[in-house]
Amino acid sequence: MTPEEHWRKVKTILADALERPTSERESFLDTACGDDADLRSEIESLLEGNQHTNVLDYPLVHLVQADPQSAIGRRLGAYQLRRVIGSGGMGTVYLASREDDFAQEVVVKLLKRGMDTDEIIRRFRTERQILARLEHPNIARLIDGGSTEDGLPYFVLEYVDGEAIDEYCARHELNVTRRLELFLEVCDAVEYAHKRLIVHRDIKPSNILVTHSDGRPKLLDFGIAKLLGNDSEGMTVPRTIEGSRFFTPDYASPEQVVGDPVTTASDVYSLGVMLYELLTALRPYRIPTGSAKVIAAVLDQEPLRPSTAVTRVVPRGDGTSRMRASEVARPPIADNKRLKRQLQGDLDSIVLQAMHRDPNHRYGSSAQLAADVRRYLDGEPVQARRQSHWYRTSKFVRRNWAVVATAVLLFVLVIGFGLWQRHQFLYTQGLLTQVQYEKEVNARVVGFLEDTFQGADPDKLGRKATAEELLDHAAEQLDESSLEPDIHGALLHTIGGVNRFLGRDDKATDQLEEALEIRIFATGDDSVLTARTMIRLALALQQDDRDRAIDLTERAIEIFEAKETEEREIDLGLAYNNLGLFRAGQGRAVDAERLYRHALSIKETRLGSREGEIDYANTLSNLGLLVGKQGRHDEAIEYLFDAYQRRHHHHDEPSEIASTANALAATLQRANRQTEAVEFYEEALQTFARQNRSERLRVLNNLATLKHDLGELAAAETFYRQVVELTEDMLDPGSLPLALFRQNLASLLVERGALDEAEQLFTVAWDVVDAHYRDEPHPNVASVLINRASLALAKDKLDEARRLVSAAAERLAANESPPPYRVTESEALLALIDARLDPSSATSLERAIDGYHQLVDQLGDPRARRARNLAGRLEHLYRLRDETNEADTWKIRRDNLPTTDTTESTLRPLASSAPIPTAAESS
Amino acid sequence: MSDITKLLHDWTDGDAEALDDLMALVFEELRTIASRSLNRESRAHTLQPTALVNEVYLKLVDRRSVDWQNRAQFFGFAAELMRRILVDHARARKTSKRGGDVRKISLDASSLDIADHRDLDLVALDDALKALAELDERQSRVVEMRFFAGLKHEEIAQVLGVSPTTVKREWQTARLWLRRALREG
Repeated sequence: MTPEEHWRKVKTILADALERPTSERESFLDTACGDDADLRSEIESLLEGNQHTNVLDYPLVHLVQADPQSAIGRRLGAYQLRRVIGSGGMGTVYLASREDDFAQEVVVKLLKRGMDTDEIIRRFRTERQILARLEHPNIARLIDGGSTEDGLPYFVLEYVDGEAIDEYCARHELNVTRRLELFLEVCDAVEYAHKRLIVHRDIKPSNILVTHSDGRPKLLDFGIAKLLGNDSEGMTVPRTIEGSRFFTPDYASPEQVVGDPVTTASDVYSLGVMLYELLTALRPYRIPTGSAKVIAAVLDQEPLRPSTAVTRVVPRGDGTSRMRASEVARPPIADNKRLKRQLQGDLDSIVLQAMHRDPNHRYGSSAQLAADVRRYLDGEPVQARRQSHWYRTSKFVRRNWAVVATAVLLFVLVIGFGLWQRHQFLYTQGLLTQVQYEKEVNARVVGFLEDTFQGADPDKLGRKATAEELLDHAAEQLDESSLEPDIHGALLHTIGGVNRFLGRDDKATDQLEEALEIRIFATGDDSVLTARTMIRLALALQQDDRDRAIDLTERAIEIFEAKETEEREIDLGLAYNNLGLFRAGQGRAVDAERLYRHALSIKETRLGSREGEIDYANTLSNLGLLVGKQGRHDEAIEYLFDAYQRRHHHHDEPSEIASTANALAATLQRANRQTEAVEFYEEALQTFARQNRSERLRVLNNLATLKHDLGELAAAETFYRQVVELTEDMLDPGSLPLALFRQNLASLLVERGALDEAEQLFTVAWDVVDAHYRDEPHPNVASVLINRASLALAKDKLDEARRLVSAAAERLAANESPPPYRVTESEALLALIDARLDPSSATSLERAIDGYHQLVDQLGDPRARRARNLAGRLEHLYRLRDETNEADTWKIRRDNLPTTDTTESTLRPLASSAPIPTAAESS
Repeated sequence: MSDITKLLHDWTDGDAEALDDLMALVFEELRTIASRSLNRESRAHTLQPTALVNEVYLKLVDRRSVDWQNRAQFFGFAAELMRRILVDHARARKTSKRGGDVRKISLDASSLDIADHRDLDLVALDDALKALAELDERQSRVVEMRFFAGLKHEEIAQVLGVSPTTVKREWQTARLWLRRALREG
């Protein structure tokens, strides 16, 4: 057969195959190629190319432009084109002037050929009346439109002499407030148009010019995107980006990207992205090239909070890293930390609400967005935070009611209300009991408290700055004041407590030390008040001086035990719990357990109330974690589940419920109760997905390894990929955790047969791991080497595989106490490779089989993943030795291994009996 | 009726020499426009998709007097010309760069970032097309008309006198063959 004849045959079958749906091609080729394996593989390799974009699909000739300059001097309607001032995806932009009035300058947008001319002009005719009515000082007017002699559509627009809003902000080094004010003007203009049912569809900084003359922002191109149409089948547009033609991916809303109807909500979204950029000089997403990736990016990426983004190191360039917005300088605020504080809380919430993926959760209009920005500028609570989950429950205020109440009281006091003095006076005069006195004071401040601390952020993410400033200011004032010692002590006790709560342990320690001194002086060294300060100081000291923390707590317990007060149980419960915590930290588990149990017996008296239940759950969680560390898994599970249920039923904070669910899941996993563990991890993930990235990362990674162990490879891959992605966002490209996560993903991919990607990942991960450990014989290094060897083996690169295993074995040999499993694994793998290299070597084969049997024995627990892999190896080895029966046995064992754990639940089926967690909580 | 239109008529009526005259006439115009577009160095004016052949066609031919058949014929040979111009240009560029450093022509379709699809070594493509022509002349013509002149399948079918379905089958298999050839080459 000549080459021509051969190709004719190939191309006929190929064309026939292409006309069939993908699912039927396989069977078609079976028939068409018969037993001609060469023909079949040639056609398959050609077909494979069909899955990729092909550069030939976009006619080259459409990409070669006519010279935009050649149109200069041309007349369009009453206007003469004078010079090119820009060009973009849709055509060239000219500065033009009226022929009869040279001073009247306009902008002419001349669309390129290949756009759907007739359709654009038809739309223009229907829309022009509406667009012509857009008369707003912040909107550049559409003056005219039409088509050139040779059929190119054009628009005439008001000329705005100005610069793009982001460049303007950068060049004038505007502060956050000024940027927000400019943004408000933009919102007003957008709202004006929205009321006339005109959607912009392409809001972005380059479409908003700030005039040189009076510094006002003007929106360009209102309604133009619609004229150009989202659905036009312009001949030059590759199918895949048809829908994405007339928006800019960075600013496009999810509904725009997927081609859903575009509404005013889409503009609100774009305004949100722009605000993000104006405030941070960063884009919220990494938008990769390629239309499918654009869609994925906009739909799947979680934008970083603006406040988080500004302090994150931003690597430039390679498309996988978050890009700085082009040529936009940071606001000239002293440093990123200060900017971060400004953005934290309200502005974060405003931006993220405007950018909410679901249009229904965004601001209902740009007016509402603007109103919230105004609220922020006026120092009022913003709506966005009211609506977020954590805002509503304001843990800080609710859980630490007394602390906050006193802090606010302090504030009130310091600025001169004198409330405390009056009550203190009455108290000292014996006119009020201590309890009445505290109640009275608390009641007075509740109203004020609610207003002031509405923005307090329970998850240490938001309003911290304000609380800190408030505290520092108060502490200074207190220092300069000359209050009665008992008041002074009480206030310091309060401030110190709040500082500790905020994680400022050093400040807290100083203040509480002073408070303790004063209280001993004012109320004696055996007063309940003194003891309470001891408890608090001990907590602040637990990291730096645990012995002293224990002394203080023990002393406090003595005092509480000796006194009969109304709050004796609360004080004692807390004290025993804390002491248990410190003992556990010392490694004295028996003492710790005794103390926890004692605390529980005290706390039992307060069960029934919400506070009591949650308090009980706290100690129960501690106990569960403690016994779990000792390997008493069943007990640990019992306690943690109990705590979990109590938190649940009494509507504890979602983050607390999630933490307990996470601890429970980890314990279940260690107890080989994988299925249940998955359910609790997933619950924890649901909560952390909204809140805490590092927690989420931990849970995701646990879930991934768990799914991997369970043999649910597809799910494991999804989770591993999320882990890697999240880590890429959080850490440097060269960080060790990222490398290890990548290698986890890679070893999974080897099992799934995606060898090429696995190899790439291993290569990247190896460089980092190697550089990190250098010659250190760390087991991690051996693990990566063994994994790489398995990959090489899978690819039949035996020599490379051997080299890698040998290197792994060397590292393990250099380690003082290498993990036995890894040692056996490396020996067995080496023998296996030798057996493959020299099929006649009976000893290698023998050693390999022995080794893998040992591994199966060592495995002990039914971890399906490893068991399956080992069974696969043994099957392979027995086949090499032609022992078909034995091989078949292992094949059957391999196929029948449980993909989920079969261990019976001795306890209640936890996750299914637990109520489905509700995201909303009492407000 | 312009010269071009007349030559087109003559050519489709079977006057082979008319084609030579026609090509000579059109070639110069095409070359001027193409080189002006491709030599543009200023980054401010990114190359935009504009149907170059269309441009020339509109300039040279009075469109009301040319029927569909003629138009298709014209595109047929314009495609060949375009290929020659663009490939020659790329080749010249390749050798004029110091040390013959290979620079791929990268044409931005628009502000949308799809540039990665646009990197293409035209010289390699030309070589591959020649190899394809050895195997199957008609397929290389289909690619030429579609890729270099942006003709639609219906138009190509007109030029070649076959059904659009045939053109589609030729195109789909040729693009896979070329992809393989370009990757291997």
